[in-house]
Amino acid sequence: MASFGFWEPIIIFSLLNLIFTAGLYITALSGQLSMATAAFGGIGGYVSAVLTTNFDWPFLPAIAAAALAGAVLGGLLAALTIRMRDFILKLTTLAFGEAMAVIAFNIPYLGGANGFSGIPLYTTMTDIVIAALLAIYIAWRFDGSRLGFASRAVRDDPLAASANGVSIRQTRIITFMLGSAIICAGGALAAHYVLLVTPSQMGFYYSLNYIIFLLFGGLQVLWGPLLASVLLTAAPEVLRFTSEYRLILYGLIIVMVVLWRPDGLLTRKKGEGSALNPLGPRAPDPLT
Amino acid sequence: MRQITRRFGGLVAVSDVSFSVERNRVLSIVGPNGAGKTTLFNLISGVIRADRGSVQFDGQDVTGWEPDRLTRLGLARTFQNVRLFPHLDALENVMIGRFCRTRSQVWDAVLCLPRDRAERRQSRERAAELLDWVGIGHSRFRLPAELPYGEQRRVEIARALASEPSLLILDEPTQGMVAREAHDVMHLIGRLVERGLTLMMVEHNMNVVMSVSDRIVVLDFGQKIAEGPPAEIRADPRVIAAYLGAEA
Repeated sequence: MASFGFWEPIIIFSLLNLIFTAGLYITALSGQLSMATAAFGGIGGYVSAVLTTNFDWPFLPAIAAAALAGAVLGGLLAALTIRMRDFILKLTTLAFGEAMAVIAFNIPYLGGANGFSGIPLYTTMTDIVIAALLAIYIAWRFDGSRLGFASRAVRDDPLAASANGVSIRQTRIITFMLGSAIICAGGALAAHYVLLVTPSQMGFYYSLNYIIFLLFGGLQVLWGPLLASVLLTAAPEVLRFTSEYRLILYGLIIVMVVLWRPDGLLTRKKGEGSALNPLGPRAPDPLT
Repeated sequence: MRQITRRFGGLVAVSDVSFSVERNRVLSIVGPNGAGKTTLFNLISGVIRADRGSVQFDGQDVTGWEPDRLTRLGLARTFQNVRLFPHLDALENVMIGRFCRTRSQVWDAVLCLPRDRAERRQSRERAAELLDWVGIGHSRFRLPAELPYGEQRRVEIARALASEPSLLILDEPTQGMVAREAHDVMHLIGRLVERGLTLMMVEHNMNVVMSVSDRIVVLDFGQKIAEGPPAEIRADPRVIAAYLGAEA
């Protein structure tokens, strides 16, 4: 693929963040706002980095292993938090993320505080674009599926969902597994581009970014958070000409959206059915 | 299908209540406020657990089952205060009821396998039919908040029907309705029985209760004080006492 010069890293990081956000969107679909996105990304990075660097695994199987690790850990975390609601659930995912960072910090094999380095450069622009399209496709297919709608029902009203035959356990575990698998695969791609995985990048400060993307874009429509992830990743770079004011402007943009569109950038239209349900009538333009 | 029987006991709110409902009949539970009617329904539908006693459904002991498992077995319910999913439109709300009758998994959806395609189409068609059946097909793409209260109740009943129940539990189906709306609900209940359903309901509107019920159970302070056909209940001095507060 052609070189994009100055824009190349911006595009790559935007698309990486898009993959993470797609994973978080799916996780949040059943009502679990995970605060451990960066931790899962770091886990995926470590898994793939160790397998390729120390065990000479090829790139693709290493990504698959990272995704599998994400699915297993995500499923475990969901199973452990199945009876938790709202605030306690968020705190638990936060604690899980921080615990993972501390664990990575204390394993000398993973490089401790300095992180794991010497990772081979594999990820190309083409890989990222393909991976992003794949993540979008999977998230979109899941979003409109029976399990996707059941997850939304659990998020809206767990009691009513349960009384109508939807298993809270099943939807919570599936969304957490699928979302974490996507996030870990994204983390693996990131590791083979940045060439370094550190415990500090697994912390809540980084997870918070993805929550901002999600809430900024809106929880109800997949395209909202995806759009937000690309816009907000690129924004600080595009605003670079304003030098020291750029972070202030970034904050201002977020505050303005929160004030004017409290449900996020994109919302489901009233009275027109779902813009996402591929069987439903499509809203002519979800960008309202 | 054999006779359906339910027994209860234990909770302070509902104490040692036993009764049964026969297939394709309408059983109403009445009683003053706080008598334990909704608690009783929550016990039956698995929302809360009984301290003592058991629930039998279709000859099977279902005590302590999770609500979603009971729904799969054929027990559906509506809520006293309508509980629709606020971010899903009417049709999608009803499609949720199809969840336990469909099977497609993540891979079916991601790989666009025939099962997923067929189930999406079939769920949507069934949900549309049910909305037509309860008489609000025209509102299928409206969000719950955009619907009048009476229509929200109908969506909830359609959603419950989508899970193909044999027993439907209605918690105060005419609550907050004017006389004409309540009359429409009575008519709807009659059609539900024609569909072959068994109905259990809590209801305060005595006109509705007396005209649609085959049997009535009267609760007061968590205890069953009377049970029988409407004519008998109407004349029962204990029931009149419980409602009017007089000494029998």
